[in-house]
Amino acid sequence: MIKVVDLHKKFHRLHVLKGVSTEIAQGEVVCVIGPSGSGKSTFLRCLNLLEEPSAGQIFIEGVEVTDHKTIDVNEVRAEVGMVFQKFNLFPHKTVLENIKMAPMLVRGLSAEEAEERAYQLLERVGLRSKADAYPDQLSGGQQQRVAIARALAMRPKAMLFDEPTSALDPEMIQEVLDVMKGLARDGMTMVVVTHEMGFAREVGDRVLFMDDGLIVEEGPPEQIFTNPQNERTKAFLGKILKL
Amino acid sequence: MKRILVGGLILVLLVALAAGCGKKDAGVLRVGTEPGYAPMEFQENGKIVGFDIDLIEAIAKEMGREKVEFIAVDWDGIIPGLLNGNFDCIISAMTITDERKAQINFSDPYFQAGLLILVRKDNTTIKDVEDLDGRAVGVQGNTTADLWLTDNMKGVRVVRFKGNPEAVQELKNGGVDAVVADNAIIMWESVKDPTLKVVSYTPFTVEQYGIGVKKGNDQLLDEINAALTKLRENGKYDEIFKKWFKTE
Amino acid sequence: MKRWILWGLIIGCLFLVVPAGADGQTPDAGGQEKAVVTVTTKLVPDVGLERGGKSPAVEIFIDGKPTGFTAPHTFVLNPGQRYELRGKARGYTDDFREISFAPGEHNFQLSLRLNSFSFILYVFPALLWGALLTLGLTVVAVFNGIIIGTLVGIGRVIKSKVVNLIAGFYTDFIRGTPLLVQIFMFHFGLPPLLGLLTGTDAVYVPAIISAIVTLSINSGAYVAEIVRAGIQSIDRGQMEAARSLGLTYRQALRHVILPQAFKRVIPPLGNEFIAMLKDSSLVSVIAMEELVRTGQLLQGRFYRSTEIWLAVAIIFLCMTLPFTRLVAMLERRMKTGD
Ligand SMILES: Nc1ncnc2c1ncn2[C@@H]1O[C@H](COP(=O)(O)OP(=O)(O)O)[C@@H](O)[C@H]1O
Ligand SMILES: [Mg+2]
Repeated sequence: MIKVVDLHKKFHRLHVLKGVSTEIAQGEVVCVIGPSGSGKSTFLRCLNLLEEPSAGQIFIEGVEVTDHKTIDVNEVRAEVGMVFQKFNLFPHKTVLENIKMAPMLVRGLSAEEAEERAYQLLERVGLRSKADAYPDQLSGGQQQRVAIARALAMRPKAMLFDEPTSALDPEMIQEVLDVMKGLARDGMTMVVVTHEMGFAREVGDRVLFMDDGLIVEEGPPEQIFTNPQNERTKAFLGKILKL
Repeated sequence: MKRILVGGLILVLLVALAAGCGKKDAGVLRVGTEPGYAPMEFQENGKIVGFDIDLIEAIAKEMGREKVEFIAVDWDGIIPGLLNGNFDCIISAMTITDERKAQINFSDPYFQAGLLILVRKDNTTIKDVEDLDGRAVGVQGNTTADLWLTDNMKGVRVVRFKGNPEAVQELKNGGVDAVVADNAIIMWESVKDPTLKVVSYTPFTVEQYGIGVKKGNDQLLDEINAALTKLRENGKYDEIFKKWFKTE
Repeated sequence: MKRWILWGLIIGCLFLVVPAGADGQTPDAGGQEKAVVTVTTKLVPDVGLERGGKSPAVEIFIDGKPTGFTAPHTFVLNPGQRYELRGKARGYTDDFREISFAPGEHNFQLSLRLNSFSFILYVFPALLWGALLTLGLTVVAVFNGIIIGTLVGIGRVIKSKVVNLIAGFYTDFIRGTPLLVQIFMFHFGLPPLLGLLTGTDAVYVPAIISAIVTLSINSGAYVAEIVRAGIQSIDRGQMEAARSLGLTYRQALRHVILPQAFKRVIPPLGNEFIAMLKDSSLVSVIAMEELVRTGQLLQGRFYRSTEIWLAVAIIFLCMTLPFTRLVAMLERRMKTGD
């Protein structure tokens, strides 16, 4: 469903992605791991064109989205949802308004339609009662669940998660992971940058290990975690598993 | 509350200190002037020059002062400046009036002046003072031109500028129909700028310029008057007059 | 509340130190005959006459006792003896002199000045007209400034080199030159240039238009900086989140960034208003008689600086204090939901 061919990204002289290629199937859940600064976020942000790739191609459902002439980036982004480490909810709007806004502005839904959709999604993330609260009245875990609902409200074809639980207090991590598991079970195509091994093992179909702007190793979670082949993968896993 | 009291105390001390700081150098005569009134006093090549300037320098010399220090001030701040002791006297084409005499003392009159009207060359409707009625007239605020028009010509829209040059510029730009000021100044402007002309060369007021001195400073006033008399007698005054007003 | 009391106290104290002037007069030595003294009065300024009404009568006191007469009146006094002569009139400060007369006829003038309070009341209407102009100019200028500044401020952050350049030049030019220079340039400098371009004489721009335009343009540049800073203070994640949902740059700016920036911009905008209230006094150079200029003109007329500047300061405070309160209140109310 998503195909990445020799993706490069440079910030001025800093070469961050040095030729990433991979393919993600419909309904697949791919977890991306790797040391800090290896380019995981940049890779994810390239997938929904928040960053403009310097070279290489990205295809979504067979359409080349890196082709500037024929593609409207706003349409691409609308099809690919993204959840951020720091939630990034809109603080001046209520939970309900946060979710309603994009469907109304981008998809042209009426206020009633958007509201109905928002309530359904809030139900799904277990926060229906918080519809009229402002983001700063919610806990971190609740905010992240609202952020997921907000992204889902666009009915995206795929969802990108950039370390969705690393800004959370430990006791709130599970509630967010549960929502994500539910999504995976419902067949959502997902790319998740995470260091939650349990999550990767349970719902991940495949793990990508990135280092220094390249996919160094990939494979089923069980294989990567228990029997890594690459030296760098071993070293990295050694470090995080010790914690 | 205590902090306020301390603050107030410091303020009082500062004021007292500033008041005590009015040190004076006997050899220097400090003169306040508003140098926007050619040819009486104006800036030329970074220096203040003019009839008044030459006159006060001659007076200071006659008084035995070594140096004259000119302090350029706004017209609006010239009398307050004298009262504050920023300078010893004022020479600035200042007409002796009762209101001003209530504030400061004046030397003997040293120059006879009067108000004239300046208009653009193409103006044919303003022929004398009465024709100013209903028109916009530019003046320097708080000069005798301002006071006279305000008191005597209720129909005139008096447009009060900070300096006379701005009033003349406004006349050229068409913002006012005329400028009223002292005769020497109006004539100077009309000669300098061929697009302007004087309505009539006979002033419609009679005024006397005086040198302003702070009340109570009678010694300085006497010295100035004595020097002035001397200059009139020995011909120096006429020399200076001729230098600035060639004809007649 | 305490602050108000403090202001009251300070202003009250200032009233106490306002001097009441009285000129002295040297008395003549006495002789044998009686001294016939006609006491007349001078009221400065004579409010009655200025307003076309009646001046208050001046009561005459001799040695502290009321004579029952009002000036002008002729008294027969013992020559050589010292008297304390006092004139009193409502709203004026007493004039009192210790004096003795030589034999013969004398004219004696008592000169009474409006007391500080009455004088302030007397000049207050003129000052209020000035204040109205100040307030009007400021409100119009800051209103226009907010419109200009919002557009220019956005122009500084959007991804367009040309727009960035123009907006940047505008703010740099205005903020890098004194307002006074801008007023002179526009009002005195522009008409001859326009005249040259159109091949006519100077094209005159009325002073009020010059004032409004220059103040608006000036305010616009400062508001632009406020708006730019406000926009840039919003976390980058907000823009990214909005764009990741498929909103266009304009939609993200309008629905996500600007509403948040707006709240942050209110306090500095309040400061801008207060600054403009004070800076607008510079238009006095093109003969706009706003509050400060009115004060200057009155000072030149009456030479009573203490009262005039006290009144001007009070009027300024009356305009700024409620406004600071309003901004503080808005700020507090806006805090919720941020
Ligand atoms: N907008 C940017 N401008 C310049 N450098 C960037 C930018 N975004 C990321 N980088 C750099 O790219 C590298 C990879 O960053 P990132 O993709 O965030 O890594 P990771 O998510 O794996 O920690 C880092 O060195 C980071 O400093
Ligand atoms: Mg990252």
